[in-house]
Amino acid sequence: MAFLELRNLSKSFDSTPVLRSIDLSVDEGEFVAVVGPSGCGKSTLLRIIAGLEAHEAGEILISGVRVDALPPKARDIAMVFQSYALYPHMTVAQNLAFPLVMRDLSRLERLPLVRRLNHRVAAKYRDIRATIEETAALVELSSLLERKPKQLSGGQQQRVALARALVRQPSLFLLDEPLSNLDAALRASTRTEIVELQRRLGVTTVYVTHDQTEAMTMARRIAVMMDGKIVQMGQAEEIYRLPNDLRVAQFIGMPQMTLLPGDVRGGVIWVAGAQTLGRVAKPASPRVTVGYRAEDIKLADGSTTSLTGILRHVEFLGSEALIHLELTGLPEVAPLIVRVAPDTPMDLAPGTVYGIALDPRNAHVFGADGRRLDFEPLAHAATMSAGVVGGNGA
Amino acid sequence: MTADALPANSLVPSSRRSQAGIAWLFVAPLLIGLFLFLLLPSLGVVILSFSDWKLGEKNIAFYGLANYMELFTDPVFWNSATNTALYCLFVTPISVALGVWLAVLIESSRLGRVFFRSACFLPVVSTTVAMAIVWEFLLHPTLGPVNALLVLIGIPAQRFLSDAALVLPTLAAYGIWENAGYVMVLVMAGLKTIPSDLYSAASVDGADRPWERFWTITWPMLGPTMVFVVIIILLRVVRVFETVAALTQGGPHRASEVILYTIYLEGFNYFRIGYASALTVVFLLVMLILMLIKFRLLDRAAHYQ
Repeated sequence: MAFLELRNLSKSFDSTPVLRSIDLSVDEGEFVAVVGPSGCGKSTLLRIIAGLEAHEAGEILISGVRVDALPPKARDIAMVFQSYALYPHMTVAQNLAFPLVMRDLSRLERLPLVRRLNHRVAAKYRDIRATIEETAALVELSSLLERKPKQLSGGQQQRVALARALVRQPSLFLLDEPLSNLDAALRASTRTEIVELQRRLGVTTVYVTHDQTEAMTMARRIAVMMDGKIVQMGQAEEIYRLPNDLRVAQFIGMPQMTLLPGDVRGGVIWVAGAQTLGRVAKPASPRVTVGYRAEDIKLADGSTTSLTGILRHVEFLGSEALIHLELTGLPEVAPLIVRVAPDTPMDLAPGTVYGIALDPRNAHVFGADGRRLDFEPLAHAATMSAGVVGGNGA
Repeated sequence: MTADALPANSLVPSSRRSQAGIAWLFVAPLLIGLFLFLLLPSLGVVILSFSDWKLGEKNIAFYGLANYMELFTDPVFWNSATNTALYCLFVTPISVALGVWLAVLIESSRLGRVFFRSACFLPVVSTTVAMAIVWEFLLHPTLGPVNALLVLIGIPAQRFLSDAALVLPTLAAYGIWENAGYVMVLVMAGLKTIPSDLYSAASVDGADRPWERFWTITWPMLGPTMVFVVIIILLRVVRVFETVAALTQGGPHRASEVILYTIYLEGFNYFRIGYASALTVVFLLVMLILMLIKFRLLDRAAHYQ
């Protein structure tokens, strides 16, 4: 059974819908990332799970119990904020102690001086101190416990925020863009640290980010959110290989997927008016979009393919190179991006014309509504290029 | 453009000089004003405080420290100083507390925020003397609505402004009414600087009752603002004058006479400018000390940012 379950969750701000019937289920101990462009509603979703914001329709269940009406503190969750939200007037130790003090001590016991006068309360404070030290050791903060947040570096502050969330051993761990204020090198190492920490503690985690790299490297499953809806949910590879929506295809993957205009004539998909890809299974709109990943496009001799491109720009990235090609005769189409090995012997002078070989089996075809279109790839390379050059007048 | 295209090095200092000249030109009106209307009169007051000059007299003689000696044995001065101190002791903490309460209350409610904010700020921007006349009517022993209300609930009518025991508390209440709105506006500005994420974190961490949120987030985060507010209000309150002049003229029997009013009486009623100057110098010194405390505390309190 799912540990966290969202059913049909909806929310709007002043009649602008920000969440449209969200369904999401997260298994116990699972790490799920919610990824999407800014403004897609992912942070609102997290705040609703935390109970910081109210939703208008739908249900939230944590281990099978509806928590919709419960305040945040009763939901047994912990949250890490993008700004870290550390209490600036408290030391690191006091920051970490705060959730424990609020949970374990009654209002009377929290009063100043009570700790000095009552042995039982003093014992509780000693327990809290022990827990703090344990948690601090977990994220290597032991030597910084008496500092104020202002005296810490960004990475250290981030670890304090993590520790404060973990110190209570919550059953659900919510992270809202926790790495976006760190520099690139620190972000990469913290990514690994968080994943390892999560695996070790086995705490169910929902991680919100706009960074697809974070989502793909950290999470077991990814929910891609667009315009207040979860458009696709699955493992990183599945979403990369089979994006079910044009927006997902564009959002996931570096570099961005190349998109080419396509059309359907007599049940056959044509790309850029020059090459056939396959037969559509169902009747589809006449206009389609054809997407190719950079590594799926092959370069060939210009005379052997129906599509050709002019080399405009090369990005050398060390382990690979990205070649930007402008489609011959179609300068208004965004350039094709082709990934090649950096040592490929080829002429990289701008203006060089290359043939573009598109394997129908690697094509992603999207209908006018943006949904993925199933089609049956044409197997014969010979039939697809024969006699189509003349049809290039689109 | 490359670095070679820049003008020769020797030009830089002179252009910097002319820039400094322009800067002084812009600051000049303010400096001249400060000198003419603040520093020069202050210096004059200090000099006059060592003289026996009376307003309108042609003779002026060096009087040494005689004015200051008189001051420290003058029961009128000590009475005014005590009244002023009592007034500050009442008005400052209560108007600060009330202002903070109003600010938090109004900021947390959605309804009528603009209305309540304006209503509470009204006493700050309205003319004190005009408002004093309204209050004089409200507190009138026989015609005033306040007394009518008291009688209605079974309390005998009070002579708020002519009863020696009541006059200072009444003026203090007026001062609170006058200053709480000012505190409120300053605190509201301070509240705006508290990141809302802190409140979210606090409610996730278990502090979601209004009182807990106030003590764990709002109050500590307002620290620097509060130091500023307390000193500013104290400086305003110490200078109380118009209310006294308009409502009681220091009466009855000097029960509501404050320092500034004593200075005014000595200088412009009894024409003892030398003595009034000595009073003013003492008052200025107290204000100066308050200012120094303010800057010292503000430096220390600004450690959050």
